[in-house]
Amino acid sequence: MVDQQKIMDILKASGSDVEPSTEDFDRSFSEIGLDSLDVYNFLSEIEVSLGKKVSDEEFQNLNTLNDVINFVNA
Amino acid sequence: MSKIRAIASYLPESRLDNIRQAERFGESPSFITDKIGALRLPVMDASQEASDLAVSAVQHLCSEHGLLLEAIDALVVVTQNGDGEGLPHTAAILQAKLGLPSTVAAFDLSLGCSGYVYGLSVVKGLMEQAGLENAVLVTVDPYSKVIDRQDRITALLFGDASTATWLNPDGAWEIRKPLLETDGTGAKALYVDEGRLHMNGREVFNFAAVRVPQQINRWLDAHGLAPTDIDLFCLHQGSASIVDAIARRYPAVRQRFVKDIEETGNTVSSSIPLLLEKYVMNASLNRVLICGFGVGLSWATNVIEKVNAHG
Repeated sequence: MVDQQKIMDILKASGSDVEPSTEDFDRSFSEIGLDSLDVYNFLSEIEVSLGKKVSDEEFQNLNTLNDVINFVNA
Repeated sequence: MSKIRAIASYLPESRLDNIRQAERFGESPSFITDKIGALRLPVMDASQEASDLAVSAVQHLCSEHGLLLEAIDALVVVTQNGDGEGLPHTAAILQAKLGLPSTVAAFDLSLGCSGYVYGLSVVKGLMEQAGLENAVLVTVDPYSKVIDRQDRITALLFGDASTATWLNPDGAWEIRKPLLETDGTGAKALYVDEGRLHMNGREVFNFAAVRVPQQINRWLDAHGLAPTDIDLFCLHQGSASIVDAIARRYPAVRQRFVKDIEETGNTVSSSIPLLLEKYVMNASLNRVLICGFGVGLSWATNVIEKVNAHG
């Protein structure tokens, strides 16, 4: 199971300097300071680190860090 | 054995201010400076065609490096946005504009950002099989022909440019054995429909961020080399972000990844030879990795090595 700490580690590994609080996990990517390329980077890191590839359809439903946790753990 | 002898280039004089473009799309200046990386985008004039840019690149090659036009045996043009509608092939139009004799072999190579790496091996193979002395590999893929300036995804990214590489047995840079790959299931990630470019930015980015390092690693493993054995990494300059994302996989040599996109943008197949011309041809380097990736999806990795550098 992937938890918030693991997601924060992956976010950092993707080159982002955003350090989300617990509350930030339910805020949209843009609200916590991630632009489109930051999100692309983050999801690529998810694939490399966890072997979980995000399809275009799945991508449409990923708007928050908790969405990503739920997607990875599903 | 054919080798790289010299490289020259041509950038159109007109420039788009990318910070101003970003304002139009509601993007911050830092998105351009830190993520896209291109502050200005060279764009050819409406009166110009791909072959016009290529003529200037080849003329620079001749004037700067002593190649005689009449000595050219083969002219290969990497493009997917050639003159007119792409028929006839731009290489034939270029042959005529340069005034080259009809004994010249001339053809186009339909590849995008992987095209230069492919092209080096295609031309090398042709020269050896046909016994040719001098070939010129041209890159010119003016995406301005197909970009919708209202499309945020592509309008901020691509610039026009042309390069010309002289291959000759007396060149200083040997071309090693490439790794060439294709995944046509990603064809819709970057395509033109009704004259307009469409790009799935996330799919292209993810493909490059995940699969390019895998290919680079396979190339190095196949040749018994480590990343530290490479003096410089000249990757396709898709965007500042994608170069950073790939370089991050190589922490020990991260500073050896060239990132130079500010004045050019993503120039498709021209980005790698632009780097080689600027950072490699006259530098004290021995082994340089080149890697192109993009439309197709198509990706290619190779190494060029200075003659006698390791023997």
